[in-house]
Amino acid sequence: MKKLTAILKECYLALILLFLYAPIGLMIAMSFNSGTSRARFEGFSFSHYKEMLADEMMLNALKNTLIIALFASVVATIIGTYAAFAIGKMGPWMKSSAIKILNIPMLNAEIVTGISLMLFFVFASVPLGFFSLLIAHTMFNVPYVTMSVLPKIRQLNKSTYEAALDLGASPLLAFRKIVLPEIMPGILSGALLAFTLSLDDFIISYFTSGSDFMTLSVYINSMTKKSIPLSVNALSTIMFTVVFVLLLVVNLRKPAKEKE
Amino acid sequence: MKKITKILLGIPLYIWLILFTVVPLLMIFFYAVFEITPEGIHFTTVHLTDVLTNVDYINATLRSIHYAVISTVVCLLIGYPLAYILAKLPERRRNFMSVLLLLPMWMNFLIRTYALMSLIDEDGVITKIFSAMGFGSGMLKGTDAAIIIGMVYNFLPFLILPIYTSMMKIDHRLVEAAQDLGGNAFVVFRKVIFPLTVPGMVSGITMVFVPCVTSFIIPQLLNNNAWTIGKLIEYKFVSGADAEAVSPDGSALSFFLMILVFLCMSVFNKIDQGDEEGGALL
Repeated sequence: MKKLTAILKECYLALILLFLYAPIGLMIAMSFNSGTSRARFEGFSFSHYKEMLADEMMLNALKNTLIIALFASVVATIIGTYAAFAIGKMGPWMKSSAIKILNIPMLNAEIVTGISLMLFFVFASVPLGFFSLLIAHTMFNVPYVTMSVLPKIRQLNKSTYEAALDLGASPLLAFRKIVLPEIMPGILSGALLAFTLSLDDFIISYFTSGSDFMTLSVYINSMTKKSIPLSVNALSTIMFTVVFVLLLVVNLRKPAKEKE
Repeated sequence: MKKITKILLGIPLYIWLILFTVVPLLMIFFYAVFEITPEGIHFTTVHLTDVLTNVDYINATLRSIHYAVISTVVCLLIGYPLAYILAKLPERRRNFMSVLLLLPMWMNFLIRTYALMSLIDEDGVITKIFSAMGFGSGMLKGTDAAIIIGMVYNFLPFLILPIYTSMMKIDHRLVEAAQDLGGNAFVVFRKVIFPLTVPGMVSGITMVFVPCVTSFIIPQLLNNNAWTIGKLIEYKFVSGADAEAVSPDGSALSFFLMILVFLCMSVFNKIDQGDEEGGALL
């Protein structure tokens, strides 16, 4: 009886994983298709990988995505960390209202956030392009950074900072040597989260980017009207593999660290 | 002196929040009620009342809610047992499995949906299996089921993880106490485990329901005939024949959608709090 439920549980897990991975597996398999069909595998070839390397528009969109993700996550990390400090020092009323406004982009529908920013850019006559995308991505990344730094600031031990000041350190030195190392894990995880959110974003980018500065998601979407070429599968396969290897390395490194 | 520096520290943050969060949201309302013509600006509530009276808009809203409710329920039915099984696995396998569940989320959402689409397309694998089993043409693309599958596929991990986290937080002594007091497995689950996972369930439901009810790209890819409110907004602003950058209809719809989302969220939060109070009474 017990064995039967154990088997059933394993089957259930396997079934869900199959559901989640079948489309991805198919997508990866088709990237090696020598034909152009998405459903019929005609033979193994790297031809779509070659096409991908020759597709300047797609590589350009990839470059744009990486640039926006990098800039937006750096700016959002700075603003978000500052916001966490400012909130930490605020009185109760100002603190709760700041957190409430900060939460809006995380809770609101992405399409509403996208539309609101688009209307704002139109109103302020900011042309839709690199700059509008950067503002939009920074805006939705900031709350995630703040929320991952804020708990670290709450845990901060005030007396070590004061001890550093008593020992003659300048406030800046005390901040750099005492406070910063304490909150660094929060800052780093916030920055990483911001980077991946930015990389993956489609809806907000769709409404705030112009036709001359497209991110990868927007570019792929522009092709869904006809049919997405298999070179997109090739690029996605490479990106998926990179993430997979990174996650593997991070997870393999963790237990080794704990042993130390 | 100290108070002044505190206020000075807060001011730039408030400027940032007002400029890039509050003002853009006000813009939605502004463009929904003010029409800007070459003759000047004039106030009108036509577009707002239109949202509440136009049959097409009402149907789209109802359809969006319909898809979101079914998808959320399906996610819950699939996800809750999965989180339960996951929480009981030995630690190493548990961590490995949660990474496996998260990994698909790292793939671009559009590409994932597109990959799913090619499975249910005319010559897709699932379509072939269905027709081999004798379910007519077996073509799922273009049906409501296709949209539900697409939503469940994309958002299932959002529901599993919060429930899983709240299960991992359960103090095992509580479960043991219930068992010692003579509760069988079902009673222990109903009286101890389930109530303690309600907060996780509520945040999971919110994380699935909101993107589902506002989604425009999943219906567009998997069943382009189904008009959801998200698709209507996109149509009014970008892809429609008479689309414009400051569409008043689109603004009114967006404003309405925002109210809908926050209303749903406050209802979910009420359920959560109400249950906590009930739990305290027990």
